[in-house]
Amino acid sequence: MLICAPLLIATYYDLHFREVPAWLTLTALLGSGAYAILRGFWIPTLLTVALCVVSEMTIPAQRRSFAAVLSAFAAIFEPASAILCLALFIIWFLWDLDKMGGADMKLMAAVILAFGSPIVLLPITLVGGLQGLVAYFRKQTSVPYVFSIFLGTLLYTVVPFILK
Amino acid sequence: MRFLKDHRGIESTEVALIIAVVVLVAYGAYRLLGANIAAIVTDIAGKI
Repeated sequence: MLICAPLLIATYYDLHFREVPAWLTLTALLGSGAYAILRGFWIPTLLTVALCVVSEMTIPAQRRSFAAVLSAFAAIFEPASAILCLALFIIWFLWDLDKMGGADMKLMAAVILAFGSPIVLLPITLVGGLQGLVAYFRKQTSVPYVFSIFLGTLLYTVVPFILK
Repeated sequence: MRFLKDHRGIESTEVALIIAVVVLVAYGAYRLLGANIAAIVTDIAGKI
């Protein structure tokens, strides 16, 4: 639930400036990473750090294959976190292909680490898909995706309480 | 660092739609084949 606070602030920045300050995304990522380690998800957290370092490699093909190998090793090392590692790699890969903003990527990684489950991506991407559909019919080429991340996370957190 | 310096919070409309479809399909596949996939990954981890 705590992750929703930085996401709400990030949504404000994204809707107004189409950018999210680094301090906000990094605070969310570091907080989620620390929480994930406390819960025993240290392999996905280490993978996130490794992907951050791998991003510095200059040759794209080399960078992407190295990241894929690292993610595969992380998944094999801790099979329970395999889906988590795959989700983190896909998000990083989309960002590396320049299909996703850096703030979106970091906030999605933070959400995955905070919940310790990639299922949270389901409401996020569904809200993002709806947002994309609306933007498509309004002839817009891009969408402020942080709003989808916030709303999807909020739905994932709140809906189970409502259904009880 | 490139990872830390990118502050953009935008995504192209097409990608948002494609991701939604892919995640839905992946979730459906996971519900159907999840147990088998976990067994295969555990088996590979055991062999390594």
